Amino acid sequence: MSDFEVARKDAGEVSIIYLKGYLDAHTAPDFEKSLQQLVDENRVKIVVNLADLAYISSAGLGVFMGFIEDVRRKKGDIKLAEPTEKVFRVFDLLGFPVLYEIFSSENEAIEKHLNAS
Amino acid sequence: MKKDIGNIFIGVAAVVLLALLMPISRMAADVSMKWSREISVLVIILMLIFLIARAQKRRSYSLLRNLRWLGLTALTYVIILTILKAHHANQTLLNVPHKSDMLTTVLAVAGLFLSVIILMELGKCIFIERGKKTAINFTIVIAIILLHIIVDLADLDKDGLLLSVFRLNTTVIPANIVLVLLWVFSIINGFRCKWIHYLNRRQKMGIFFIGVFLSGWFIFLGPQCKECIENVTQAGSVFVSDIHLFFIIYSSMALLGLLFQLPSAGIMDRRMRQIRYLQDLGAKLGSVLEKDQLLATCADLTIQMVNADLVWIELTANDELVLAWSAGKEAEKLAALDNTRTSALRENLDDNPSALLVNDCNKNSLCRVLADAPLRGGSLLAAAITHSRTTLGYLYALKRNRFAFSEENRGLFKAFTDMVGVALQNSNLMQITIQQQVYREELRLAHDAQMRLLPQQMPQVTGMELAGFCDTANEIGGDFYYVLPLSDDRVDFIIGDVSGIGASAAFYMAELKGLIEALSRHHDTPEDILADINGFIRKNFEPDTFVTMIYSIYFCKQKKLLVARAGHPPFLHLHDDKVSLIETGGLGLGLATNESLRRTLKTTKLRLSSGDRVIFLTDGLLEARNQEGKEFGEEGLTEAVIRCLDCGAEEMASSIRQSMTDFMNGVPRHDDVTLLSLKVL
Repeated sequence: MSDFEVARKDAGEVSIIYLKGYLDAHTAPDFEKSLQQLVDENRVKIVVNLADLAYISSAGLGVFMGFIEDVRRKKGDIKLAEPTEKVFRVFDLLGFPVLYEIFSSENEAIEKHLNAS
Repeated sequence: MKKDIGNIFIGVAAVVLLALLMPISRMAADVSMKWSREISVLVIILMLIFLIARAQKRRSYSLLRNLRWLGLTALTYVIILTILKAHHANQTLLNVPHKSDMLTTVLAVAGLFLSVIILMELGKCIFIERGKKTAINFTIVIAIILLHIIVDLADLDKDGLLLSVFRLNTTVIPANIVLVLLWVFSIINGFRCKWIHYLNRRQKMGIFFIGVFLSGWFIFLGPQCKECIENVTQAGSVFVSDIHLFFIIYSSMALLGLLFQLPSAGIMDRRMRQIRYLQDLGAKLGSVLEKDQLLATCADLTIQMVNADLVWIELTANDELVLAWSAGKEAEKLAALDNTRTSALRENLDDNPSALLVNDCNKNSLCRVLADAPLRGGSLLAAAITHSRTTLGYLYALKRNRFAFSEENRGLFKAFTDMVGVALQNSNLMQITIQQQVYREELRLAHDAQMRLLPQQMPQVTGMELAGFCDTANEIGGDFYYVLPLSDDRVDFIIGDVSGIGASAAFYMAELKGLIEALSRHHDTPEDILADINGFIRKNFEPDTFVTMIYSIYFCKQKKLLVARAGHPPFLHLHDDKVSLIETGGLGLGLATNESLRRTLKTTKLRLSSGDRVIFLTDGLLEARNQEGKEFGEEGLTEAVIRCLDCGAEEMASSIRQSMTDFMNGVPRHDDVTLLSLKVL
């Protein structure tokens, strides 16, 4: 279960990360690395686009948890966009909507970032 | 055993020889007696040669032992014949007729016997070459000697018919031809002195001087012996004088060879020693796998091999260059060496297919830093330690004197360093293998410990049947379930899932179990307990770890069940043959503050009646996949429950498990599957 890809696009102040495939314990480090890179570059207005994400495990969820505090302390945020029904169900069960803003379109998420600053 | 029989034969033959010759020799004048005597002597010589050859074949060969025997035999021979000559000369002096008396006979016979041994021992030395040609050449020599005896005997019997075939008009010519043949083949055999190469310098010198002494005796005093023995046996005297000739020719050539080799003998010894060191290293490499020991061995062997003052090894670890080991004089001064100043040196070594040899460090820009204090190096040998085209490190050998290392050192050094590369690689691989084994063992222990945290036996709860299972996917999982009877009236049921994998999940589980045991005695609502657990996790667990959990409290007397869900999959309630999956609000534990958690958490209150069932599960059960990628899900679960309405709690648990397994149809589990089944009686 290791078909996973991470892509990154920068749009002004905001960086969008595209997740594709299966995010589990084996592939989580790749996701971690790209988030780390963004934090190192101080690009903390982050949107994660989940349109192509087929599956997320607790290890994948843990990656978000590992960075969110730091990102928010730097006056940024990680916003989630376009999750599939299945992935949203996982978020919902865990209560993620209370912690993260989840949008049905990437642009809404980007706008939210730009409006906030 | 056979060796002893052979020796006995030789001894018997000697005795026979003696016995035959002694009475017969008295009748020297009698010609017919002479014949039988000479022929019997010939026969006995042949027999002796044959027996000694056989005895030699059986013994394992040792060059030194052979040479020792040869020397001893030759010395004894020299002594005996000197006495014989003295006796003969005495007789001449006293004008006594040269009759073969007792002393002469005994000495002559002993001398003859010893000469056969000398011949065969020399043969053994020659046979170190062990070619067919060598054997033929040596046998030819023996044949020529015997032929010479026969020719000489023919001369005896000028009128007889027996040996007429060997006679020509003048009998001198055959004898001369035979002598020429003997010279030729002795010289040919003289080239066969390979055994010299097997001696070390000291031994060569010893052999040289003893050989000169013996050869001197044979050359100057040998010829006169023929006369002395003639009176006893003519055949024997011919044999002995031919042996003398052979010995002189052979030993002269061998000694000449030795003489030319003496100056290089020291170098040969050094070469042998160096090869032995390489063999030593090869053997040690096979047995030493512990890294420090290996480095120490390599450093010490390097010092011995090239005779260095100081040796050190640098290794690359995690892209860093580290001084891994040093040995020799004032090794502690190496600490003062700033290895950035030797980076040019290392670059050279990286590209160098052979070792680097610097005769004067002061004159070479690469290693001038080594010539300065505190190292004050003169000559340097250095090479990169590589394996499979990766550089593992560098080996350096330094000597105070300039021009201390030779070209041959350089070749050896490189060969040595290559072996070190292999050994280091083996050591690294060994460590990795050991680490992996240790890790696997740790995982197994953690798994066993984790399994022990789960209920080993379902406690008895009045009015209720309980059953549960936890099937792990890997060695360490995150699922757990507990049943805590706290009093007659209260039992707590807990099911949960720690995120993440590996041994840390097991430790977290253990901590949580202890915490739950403690908290359950202090609170009587699920929300309070979950809130405290949340606080604990926020404070003590890694930020990327969270826990989903359902905490439920069952008051037995009233059959009242309180359930709170913290991020966990919903639980199943069966009442009146109707299945409902109850999902209330609630954040996972460790994700947010206690305030946030309490805000989202809702407690379900259920009044259970007889026949009701409650099933707690983890997401592994719902997410179990079949070959098409379809999930077992809530449908699969509901179906399985409906099919088993009259089952006991245990049966229900097994039935659900079986349904899931059947559904998966051979696809392996990728997550833990846990289930806790309750049936109200």
